[in-house]
Amino acid sequence: MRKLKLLIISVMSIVIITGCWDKVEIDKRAFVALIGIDKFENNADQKKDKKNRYTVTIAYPNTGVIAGKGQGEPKFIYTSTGENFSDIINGLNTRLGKTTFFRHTKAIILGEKLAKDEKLFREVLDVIERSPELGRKIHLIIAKGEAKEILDTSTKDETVLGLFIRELMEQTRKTPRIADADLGYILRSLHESHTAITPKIVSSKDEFKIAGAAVLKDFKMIGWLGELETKDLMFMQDKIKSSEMNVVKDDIIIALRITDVSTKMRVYEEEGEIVTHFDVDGEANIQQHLFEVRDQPLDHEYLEKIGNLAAGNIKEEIKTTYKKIQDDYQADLVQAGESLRKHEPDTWDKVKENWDEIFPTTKVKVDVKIKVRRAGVTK
Amino acid sequence: MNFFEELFENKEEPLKKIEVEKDYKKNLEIIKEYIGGSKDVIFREFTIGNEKIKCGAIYTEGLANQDLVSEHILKNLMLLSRMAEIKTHTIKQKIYELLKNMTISATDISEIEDINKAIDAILSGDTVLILENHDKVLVVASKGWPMRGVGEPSTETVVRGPRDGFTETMRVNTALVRRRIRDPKFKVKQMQVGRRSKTDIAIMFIEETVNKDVLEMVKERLDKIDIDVILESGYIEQLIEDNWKSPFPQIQHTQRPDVVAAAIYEGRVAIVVDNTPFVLLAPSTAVTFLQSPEDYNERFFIGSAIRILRVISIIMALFMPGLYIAITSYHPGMLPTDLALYIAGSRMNVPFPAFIEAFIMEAALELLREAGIRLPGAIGATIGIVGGLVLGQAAVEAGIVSPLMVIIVALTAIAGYSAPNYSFAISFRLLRFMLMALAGFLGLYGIILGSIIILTHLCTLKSFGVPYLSPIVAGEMTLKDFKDVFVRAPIHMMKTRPQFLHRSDSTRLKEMRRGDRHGEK
Repeated sequence: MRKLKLLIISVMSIVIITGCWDKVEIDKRAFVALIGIDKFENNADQKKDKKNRYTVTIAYPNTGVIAGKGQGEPKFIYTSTGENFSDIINGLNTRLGKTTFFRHTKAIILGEKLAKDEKLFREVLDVIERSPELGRKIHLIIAKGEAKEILDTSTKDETVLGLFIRELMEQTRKTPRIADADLGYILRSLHESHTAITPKIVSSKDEFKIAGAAVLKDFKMIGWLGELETKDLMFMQDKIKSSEMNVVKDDIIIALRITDVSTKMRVYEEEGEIVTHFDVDGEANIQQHLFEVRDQPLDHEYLEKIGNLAAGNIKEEIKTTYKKIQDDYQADLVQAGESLRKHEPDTWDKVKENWDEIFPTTKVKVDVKIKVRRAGVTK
Repeated sequence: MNFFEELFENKEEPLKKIEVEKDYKKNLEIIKEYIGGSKDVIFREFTIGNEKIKCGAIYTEGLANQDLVSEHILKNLMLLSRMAEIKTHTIKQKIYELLKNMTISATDISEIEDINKAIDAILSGDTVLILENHDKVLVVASKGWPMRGVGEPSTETVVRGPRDGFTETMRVNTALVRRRIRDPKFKVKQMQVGRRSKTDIAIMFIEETVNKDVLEMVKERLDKIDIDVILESGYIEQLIEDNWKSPFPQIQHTQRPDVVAAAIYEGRVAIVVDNTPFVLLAPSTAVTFLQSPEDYNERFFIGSAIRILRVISIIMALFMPGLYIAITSYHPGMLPTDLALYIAGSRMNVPFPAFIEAFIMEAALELLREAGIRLPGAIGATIGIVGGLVLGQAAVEAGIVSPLMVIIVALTAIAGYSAPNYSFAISFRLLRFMLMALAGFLGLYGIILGSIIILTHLCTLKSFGVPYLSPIVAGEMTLKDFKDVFVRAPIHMMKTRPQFLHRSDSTRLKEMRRGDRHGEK
């Protein structure tokens, strides 16, 4: 009997004393889908005693509308300012009447000004990395302009902005114009080589577009990459799933879809110079040729020629973009240094001290092989 | 004397023997003193043949077959014995042989010297004859009472398989099993339990395949029972099981003779209790509770698929409401985003926390089930409709519970029903509430704690010395046994009986070449 009493007391104390401490019913949580962080702009109405540095905007969906139960706005947007991120979130909790919950956050959008401010940007990156709630699969996107504008955009399509952005990011499977870079890659890349790219987001009145990339170096944003340059960079980083390409042959514009691309990068020392070698291997489908041109698209030699043309195009583009990265940004976005460290440690030991100066002088070699496999359906 | 005879040897005489005396009147008086005064015990006095030997027949009305008593005993003794050409002077000396060999045409007749035994015989339906000037009484087997016919069992129904089920009469039940086992080594040992009820119990096994340790344990535990009455096999089960504190049943009960026969062939022991159609099987393990005869009757693809489904559904019935509570209250991050948002939306305005919500619904479900069982068939169905459809629908529309909760409750109910054994399913239903409470207080951590408690308990539990989780965890685990655990291997591959029952003769199927099976060389 004594034993039983003791058992009951100990079990109850486990359950009652330690239980329930982090219990929040699912309907009492605000599922923050999207976070926008901006640098606080110093304007006249700020009181002197307040040291506002950030403007944080969060968007969370009205779950009642999603379940087809409630009415009202499909999403709630709150903005607050403060000295640091966690202050702001705690402050927001007092306004929301719900507990903010970041496990389902799909994207964090940073304003351009914030990204260019090294101190603030490093703070934000640390908050993001340190948080156990934010997964490594979410997207860190830099907005042209203010992040708040993006969150204020009311899209026609999806009510949950974060989900919409996730859907947009999924399009990296279709087009390489969106930089395929999730938080995990960005953090790793920043740790390893102090450089990275993030996707870029631009908003207009009632829609926004994710395309191109922002270049990060030494923990701040130093410039943009255009859509096509982003594509070339994706080729270099072996992140292409599918891409488009036009080649002109005998005055016929042939639209190709490049698939199954794999890129092998090798960095080595040759005659005192560091060489970055890209070996691109891919397949192509013919998307468009010309009506009633028979035999050609089925002729092996012809297809081979088209493949070679496409390969030549890719080769040139990669070379150009590599040069641009070297000249304009001096940023080792292809992680050539990291490759060197892993595969040629002896060479790396010689150059690692001043890699930032050496990278812009590295040579690039590109080998591209594109095989046209499918000519499509005719007749 | 071999092991089995020794085990079932009658070691003690329970009651003081009362010798039958020569005096006919006195014998009658003694019996009357014991069981007289009851309207249903009939004392019939008459004389035999021309010699006018006094004789008394005693039987219990309703238990004895009255046709048999009047046609084969009374009529023969009173009328036909006169035709027998016997010299008068021999009659008096050889009356017993005379009656036994020439007069009474009933099948089973014996002679006893103990009046106590005679009384037992009368009370179990036999007819006792007391003869003048004879110091033994005759017992004529005349059992025959109204009984339910062999019908389809109401539990453990199968689509494909035999339709006969046990009845309330032990002898019928043993016969149903005997029909399936013609092995001469198949033994039916009998004993009586219950000081007042003197309930017949039959222990059935095959001498060559039975696990002797288990058999010994069964006999020993049955011998120890000293209770006034055994009304159902559940009494026996609770008195001889290994651990009465466990929520899990350790002895399987079944209404199906084919299940009993299969178990006996596997080397288990069956205990048939009179007056109940439920036969006990020992030892029983978690695996045996998940087997249905249909698994073997259907082809192995289907049998295996259904077996796997059953295991999954048992796990679902145990964990689903707990997981719902834990995930919605503590870990919504584990759900896919769209689902999390939907659940959050559908739970909007629900006034209760998930734990209370789940508890209300699960309790309502148990209530419905109980009400459905107790009510007569037609009304039971109505209760199901009213409770299940109307109540559920209304509760959701009133916003007291979320629609997802109703789905979860319905799913657990269906999953719980899929276990072939009722008492095994009940134990999971009980544990479900424990897990729900733990999930309500501690989230997934609580569910893990609860699972550890249940698993630890299952690992230590034994049924007649056989580990409850064998062959999954057991000292004598062999891979061979896994052919009949989560899947049911094709019959031609199941060459041995379950090893965890460790018997001597383990070969089920003699070597069979592929060619033989297809009738080709």
